Amino acid sequence: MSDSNLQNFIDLSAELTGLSAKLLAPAVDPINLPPVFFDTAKQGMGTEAFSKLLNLYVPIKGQLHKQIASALLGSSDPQIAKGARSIMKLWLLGSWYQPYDQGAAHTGDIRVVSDQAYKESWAWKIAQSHPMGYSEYHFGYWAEQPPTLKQFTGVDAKEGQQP
Amino acid sequence: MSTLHTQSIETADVIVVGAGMAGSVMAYQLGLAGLKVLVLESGPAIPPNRSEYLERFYTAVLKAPESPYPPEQSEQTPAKQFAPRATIQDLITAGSHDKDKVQKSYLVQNGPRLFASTYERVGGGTMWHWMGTALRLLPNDFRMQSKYKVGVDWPISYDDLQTAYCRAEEEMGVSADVTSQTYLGVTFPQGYQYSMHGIPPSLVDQGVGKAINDKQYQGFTLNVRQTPAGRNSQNDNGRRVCAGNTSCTPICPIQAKYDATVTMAKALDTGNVRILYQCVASKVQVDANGVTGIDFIQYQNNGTQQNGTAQGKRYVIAAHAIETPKLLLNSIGPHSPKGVANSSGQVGKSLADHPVYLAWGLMPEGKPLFPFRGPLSTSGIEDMRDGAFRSTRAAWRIEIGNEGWNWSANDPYTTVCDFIDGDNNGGTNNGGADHKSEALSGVALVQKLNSVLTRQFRLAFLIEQVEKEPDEALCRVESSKHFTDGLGLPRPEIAYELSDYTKEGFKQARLAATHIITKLMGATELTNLNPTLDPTLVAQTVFNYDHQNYAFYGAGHLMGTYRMGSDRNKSVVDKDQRSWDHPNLFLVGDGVFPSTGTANPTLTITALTFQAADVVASDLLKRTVQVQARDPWQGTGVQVNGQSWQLAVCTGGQWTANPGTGMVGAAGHPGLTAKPGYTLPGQPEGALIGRIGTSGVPFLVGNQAQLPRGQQGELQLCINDDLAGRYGAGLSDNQGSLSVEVRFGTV
Repeated sequence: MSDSNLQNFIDLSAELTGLSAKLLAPAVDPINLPPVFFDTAKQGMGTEAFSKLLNLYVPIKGQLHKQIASALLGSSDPQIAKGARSIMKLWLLGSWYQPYDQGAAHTGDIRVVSDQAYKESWAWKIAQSHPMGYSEYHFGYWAEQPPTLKQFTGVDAKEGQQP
Repeated sequence: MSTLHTQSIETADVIVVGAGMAGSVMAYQLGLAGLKVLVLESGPAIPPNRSEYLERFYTAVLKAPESPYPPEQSEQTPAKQFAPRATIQDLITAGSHDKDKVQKSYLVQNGPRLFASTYERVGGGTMWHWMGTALRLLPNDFRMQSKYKVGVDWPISYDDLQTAYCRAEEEMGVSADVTSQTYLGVTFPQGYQYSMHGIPPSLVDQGVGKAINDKQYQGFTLNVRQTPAGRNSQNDNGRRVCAGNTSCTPICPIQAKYDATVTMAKALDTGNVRILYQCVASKVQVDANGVTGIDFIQYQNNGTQQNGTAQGKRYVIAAHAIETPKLLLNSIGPHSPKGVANSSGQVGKSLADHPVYLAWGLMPEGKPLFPFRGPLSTSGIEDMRDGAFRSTRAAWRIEIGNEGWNWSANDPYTTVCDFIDGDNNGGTNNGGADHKSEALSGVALVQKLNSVLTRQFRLAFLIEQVEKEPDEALCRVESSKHFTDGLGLPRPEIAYELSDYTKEGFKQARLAATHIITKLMGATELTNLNPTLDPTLVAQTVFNYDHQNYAFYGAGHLMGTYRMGSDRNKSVVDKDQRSWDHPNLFLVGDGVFPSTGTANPTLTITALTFQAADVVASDLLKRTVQVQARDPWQGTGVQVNGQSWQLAVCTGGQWTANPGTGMVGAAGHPGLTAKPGYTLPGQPEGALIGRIGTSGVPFLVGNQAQLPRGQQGELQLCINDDLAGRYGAGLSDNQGSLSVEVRFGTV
C-alpha cells in the first residue's frame, strides 16, 4: 500500500460518507483504523475491483459531490457501485458487508472488523450517541440534551431537525 | 476423547445445582449460616474479569443476549455439546423451514408457537444479561383465581413476601424512589428506602411522559414511571456508577449493573462454599425417604468426562425453568417412576414467559427523542398492570426502550444500509419522489440518518401469560425420547401455545400502542401490523387472533414448570419451595411461579430464594433452648453473625417475675412496666429479653423477634426482671421457664 493510495481511500471515504477526512483519519490517531479499513476493503472487493474504484476516483477528486457520487455509486460496473457502498457501511457500522461473491466470501456475509472498528463506527455519532456497550459519558447524561450533530460529526443537522 | 468412569463422591451439608441468581443467593445465605455448600454448575467458571466476554460482544455481528457467552463447542450440533442451550440463532432455526432443525436446535420445539426465550449455562447464569429491572409483583398477582377467577393463586401473599423483597433489593442494590413505586396496592415498610436513589429518566422517557402523562385511556390515567433497577446510581458498594452504556443486555461493560456473580463472590468469601464448574447434574437419586444423591458428569474442554455423585443433607435445584424439569424428568427410578418430585405429574407443566408485543414509532421531524442513550430502559407505563379487565384478558406493563429500534428493527444497521443501498427494510426510506426509496451519500446521508435515528422509540408490552386450564397446561417441557446432548442426556422438548386470554391481551396491547404512538405522541407507527403466519411451520412466533396476525417476542422470563402451591396434587413444591414428595429437596427459581404477573421475575426469584434459604438453614441449624425465669442472662449456644436473618420464637412454657401477679408468657405482664435496673426498663415485666454477646444492648424478644443485624456474638436470653435485686428478691422468687426456638427467617 502506498501512502497516496491510502490517502485516496480516505478522501474517497470522506466524499461518500459526508464525514471529513480529518475526522476519519485524524493527524494523531492512536487507533489508526484507516489502514485496517483499506486492507479490509481491498480484500473484500478483490485487488482488481478495489484498484479500479480508486483509479476511477482519483481523476475526479475535487469535483462536486454529486458528480463523484454519480460516477462511483452510479457506476455501471456493479463491483464498483456495490464495493463503494460497502466502504460507506464499513465506516458507519464498523463491519464489512460482502458486496458480491469474492474468494471464499459470499454476498451478504457480514463481519465486524474489530472491537475498535465497532467502537469507532460513525452511525452512533450520527445518532448523537455512542455504540451500545461503549459509553464514554457519565451517570445521568441520558437525561440531558446531547451535543449537536456538528460537534459529533462536523456536519450541521438539517434545518428544523433539532430543538 | 476419553471417558473416565471413576466415581468421585463429593459431600457437603447442602448440594446446590446451578450458580445463577437463585443458586448464588442460596449458597451465600447457607454459607453465612455456617453450612458447607457444594454448587454444581454446568457451564464454565465465572471469569476473573469480563474483558473476554466484552471482546466477543463487540465483534459479534448478531449482538444477541448470548453473544458474549456463546456455548462451548458451538460449531457442533447440540447432540455433541456437553452443556448446550438455546441461542437466538437456535430459535431462528427452530422457527424456520430448515429440514434439520431438530438436529440443530437444542430445544426441540413442537409448537404450535415457538418458545422464544433463551437462558445461559455459565457461572453467574442468565443474570449476566438481565436488564436490571427490579419490579415487585403486585398484590393481586398472587391471587388471580380468588380475585379474577383465572389462573391460580399463589400459596403466599404479597405481604408474606414483603420482607424478602426488601432483602432482595438490598442484596442487588436497587436504585429507585419509594414514592414512584407505590401504586396498585404495592406497599413498603414504614420509612423504607431503596439502596440507592432512582435512575433519572431518559430523554425518550421525558418525551413519552410529556405526551401521555395524566391522559385518560380506558379508564386509566397514563403515567410514565421510573423503573426500579439493580443498577448503580451511587458507588457505595464498590462497583461503578452506571455510565449509560445502553447494553445492560447482553453485557454491562463496567458491572454497574448487579449480577449474580456479585453474590456468588460473597458466597465464596464465607469460606463455606465451593463450586464445581463444567459439572452437569445428570440424575437425582431418591429412595423412600428423600434424595440420596445427585449424579453429575464433569467434562473438560479436551473432552474428558468424569462421573461423580454429590451427597448432602439437603438438595437445592436452581437450574431455571427448563433445565430443572429436564433433570427431574430424566431421573426415573424405582421411587420416582414419573421422574423426581413428580407425583403430581406437574413437573414441566405450565412453561411460561412474558410474550412481548413490540410496537415502535418515529417522532415528527424536529421532535427528536435522542434514543441509543442511557441504560436500555429507565421507565415504564405500569398503571395498567392490574384492573377489573383481568377477569377477561391478560394484563401488561409497558417498558419504554432507550435503544431506538435496535430490538425491533436491528437499527442503526438496517436504516444505515437502507439509505446507502436505496432499500426500505426499516420502513423509513420512502421519502423520495412517489414515495420511492433514496440512495444517499455525503452530507445528505449524514443528515438523513441523524434525522431518522434520533426520532426513534419503541414500547414493549410484557404480557401476562395465563393458561386456560392451569392444571392441564398446554405449555410444557418434556424429556425427549429421541434427542440427546453430548453427554447422552435427553434434551428438552417444548410445547407452547398462548391462550385466548393471553391473545386478547395482545389485541388490547396493539390498540393501546397505536393510540399512544399516533394519537398521543403524534408519531408515525412502524410496527408490522400484519406479520406473516405460515401454516406449514411446526412452531412460529406469529399467531392469528380475532382476524388479525400478531408477532410476539421472548422476554427471557422463563417461568412455571415446578410451581409452588397449597395442594400437593396440583403443584410440585409447597410454599417453602420444598418438594411435596422428597422433604430434603428444594426447587428454587422462577420455575416455582404459579402465575407470571407482569413484573420482570428476577427480584421475585431472589426474594423467594431468601425465604427458601431460611427454611433450608433452619432445617439443619434451628435450635430450641429452655430459658429459666430464675437465672440471669443465659447463653443459647447460637452464634449470631450479624448478617443472617434470624428469629427467636417462643414456642411454649410459662414463667413469672413475680409469683404474686401470676404466670405469663414471653410477652410478659401487660400491666407492669419494668423499672430502672431491670433487664430492659420500659418493657413489660416478665417479658423475654435478648442480647447479642455479654455487652450487647438488650432488646425485646417477646413472643418472637428478629435478631438485630450488625452485631456478632452469642444470643443470650433473660426474663425482664429486677436483675440486681434493687427492689426486693430479684430473680430468686421467679418461677417457670420458656422454650425458645432460634431459627432463620423474618418476622
